Amino acid sequence: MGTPRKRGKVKVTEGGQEGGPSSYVKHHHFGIGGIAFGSGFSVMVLELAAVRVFAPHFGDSVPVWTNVIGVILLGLALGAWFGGALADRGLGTKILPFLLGIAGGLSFLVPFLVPRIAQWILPESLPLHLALPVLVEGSLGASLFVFLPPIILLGAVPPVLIRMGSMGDQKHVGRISGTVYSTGTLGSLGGTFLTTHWLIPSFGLSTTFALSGGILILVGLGACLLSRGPKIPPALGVLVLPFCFLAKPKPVWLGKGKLLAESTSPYQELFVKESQENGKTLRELKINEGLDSFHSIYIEGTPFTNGRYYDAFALLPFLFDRSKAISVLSLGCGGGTILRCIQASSLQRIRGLGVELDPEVLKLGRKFFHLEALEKEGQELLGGLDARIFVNHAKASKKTFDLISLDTYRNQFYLPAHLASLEFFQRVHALLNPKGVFALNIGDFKEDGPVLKAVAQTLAKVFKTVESFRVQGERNFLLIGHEGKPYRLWKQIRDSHPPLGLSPKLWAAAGRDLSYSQWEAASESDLLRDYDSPLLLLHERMYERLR
Amino acid sequence: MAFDRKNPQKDPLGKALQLSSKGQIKAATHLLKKALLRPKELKNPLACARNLGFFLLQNGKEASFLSWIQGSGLTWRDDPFLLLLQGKAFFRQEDYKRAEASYQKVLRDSKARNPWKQQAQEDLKALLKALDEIHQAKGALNRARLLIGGGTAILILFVGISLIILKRMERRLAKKEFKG
Repeated sequence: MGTPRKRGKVKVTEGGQEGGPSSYVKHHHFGIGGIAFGSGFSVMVLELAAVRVFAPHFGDSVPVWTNVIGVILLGLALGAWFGGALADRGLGTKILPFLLGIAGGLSFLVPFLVPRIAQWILPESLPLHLALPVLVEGSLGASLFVFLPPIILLGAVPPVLIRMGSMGDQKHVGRISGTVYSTGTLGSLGGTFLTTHWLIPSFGLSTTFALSGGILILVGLGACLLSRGPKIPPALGVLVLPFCFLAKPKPVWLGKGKLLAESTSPYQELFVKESQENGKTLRELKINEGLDSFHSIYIEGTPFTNGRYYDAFALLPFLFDRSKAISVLSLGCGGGTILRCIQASSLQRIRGLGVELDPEVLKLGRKFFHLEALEKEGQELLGGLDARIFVNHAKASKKTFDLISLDTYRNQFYLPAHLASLEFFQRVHALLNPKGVFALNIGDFKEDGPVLKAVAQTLAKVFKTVESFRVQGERNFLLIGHEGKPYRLWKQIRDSHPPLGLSPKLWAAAGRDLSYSQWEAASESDLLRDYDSPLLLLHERMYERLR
Repeated sequence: MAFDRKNPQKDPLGKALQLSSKGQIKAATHLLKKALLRPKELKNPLACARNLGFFLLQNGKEASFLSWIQGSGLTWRDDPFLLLLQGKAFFRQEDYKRAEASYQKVLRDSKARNPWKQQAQEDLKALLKALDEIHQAKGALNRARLLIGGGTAILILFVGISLIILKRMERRLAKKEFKG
């Protein structure tokens, strides 16, 4: 980093001309590199933590990420212009500690501001089908307000540092620029890895922002030393540090419910809400923005969910010989709601395997959703594995299943494209026994809805029979693929008795043939593929109803 | 709803109800739709129409129900039960204005049975709640846009003020250099 040449004092003017009468500036390359490193580190901490601090309010979907990255880039561009202009007017050295100190103070304010801005924007009741535009535009507005100012200030740092370092040493501008950019980028690299893998999961968001702000104030003080300026201004940023740790307002979706647990995992923000439904205790696992959606549910005293879409999975054991054990793979098992429903409606023994991406979800599942009871009954749970990775590698173990269920919604809105592609369905098909069934939860509002249509028609390319069952009163469809004849589920349900405790309404609907739709394969060009999937667009088309 | 149970061939409604009890709603609706093409030949065409509407709505076939009722001319338009179903179909399709109009007609109709009126009232309440949610979501969207507008305005102001300050500083520096 440091160069072997001049490390002493260089007499410069405010305008950067040697021999002037004003201040003496120590031009340590080490110091300049340190400041660049610290500001680069903080930029990435702010960027990555921005998405996480937005997640409980606006989600962390691709549009939210896009907004945050866009605003950060805009801030860096404006900051670089601003910093360059300041540096050329000889203000760089004077203003640098202020830039860093104010940016540090603003960083402390983030955990205070974001929940309050979100609370101002978001209404108490925001149904999922109306939410997407509000969340996307809300996150853009909040990004502009909260993150643009500190990033502009941090964007101004590199040109100022280059000017500082090259004052009186015009020959080595290239080397100094290199030092600033390389140390800045290394700082950003450290910020990137540490934020995601260590800071947020270990210390939480408030401490992460506090650390970012603290580093900026420290490098601000370092800049004071370099420019021999007063040390107080950057240290003033510390005054707003308490805001960083002020209590957050309650999530808007909590209503009269109680927040039992709140947790930050490397993947998402998790909440467990408890409320009452028909005199029974109802627990919901909510992820990120939550809204009126949930990822797992547990109702006291019953394995079923009072007619919610999970109960539709309880119909599936009727497709198999009721005297033989069946092997079940639950992809995206969450708190084990689907496995519990399947197990409760089965006369036969179930050998279940649940795969969940986020191990923290399993932890909460064990604590609040009676997941331990499933484990005691011999069901196996695997955490920290993406469903696609599991499916890709399961074939090698030659393990096959009778029933594979998939419920892997991300951010309430999105079925990940790699879990709804032709290639994925082919791999799932290879894991099924000859009479096996693949069942997916698909969110859509209409029978001819864009997401249901695209997924069903792609699934029909792999399975001989694909049928969808609309769950009444919900925005969910149970989509099933198998090699049997059409209306297989309907015929089985029609001739069977409902399991005790299952919603009679759901059972009655499943016994009517008109509740089912049959699907044919789409043309080659309309299939969803790993590298050619318009699924994100289709989801947005489905949800963008308010625009 | 009188129908000839002894002779289901001549009694499409009876046959349809038999089918529906076996869960064969598709065949039942097909039968009723076909029979309703010649309503004069039916003993109780209104009961057939009501059952057809009920079967379709019960199984989430709103679009199919609406296209049938709108294509059936004026025959069934004023029946309060079918109006109630029409209101539900429009509501599910998020055509709130037409849904409200259908429910209001049921409420105004003196012949309508009390349970239907009650149902229409309940549905109207749900509709008003849905409209309120839309109103709230629009409010939220407006606030988000206000924030975007405010943020952009501040940004423009920042750039503008910076430009002015920097220009002034440039002029001052130039004066200093000139004096120097």
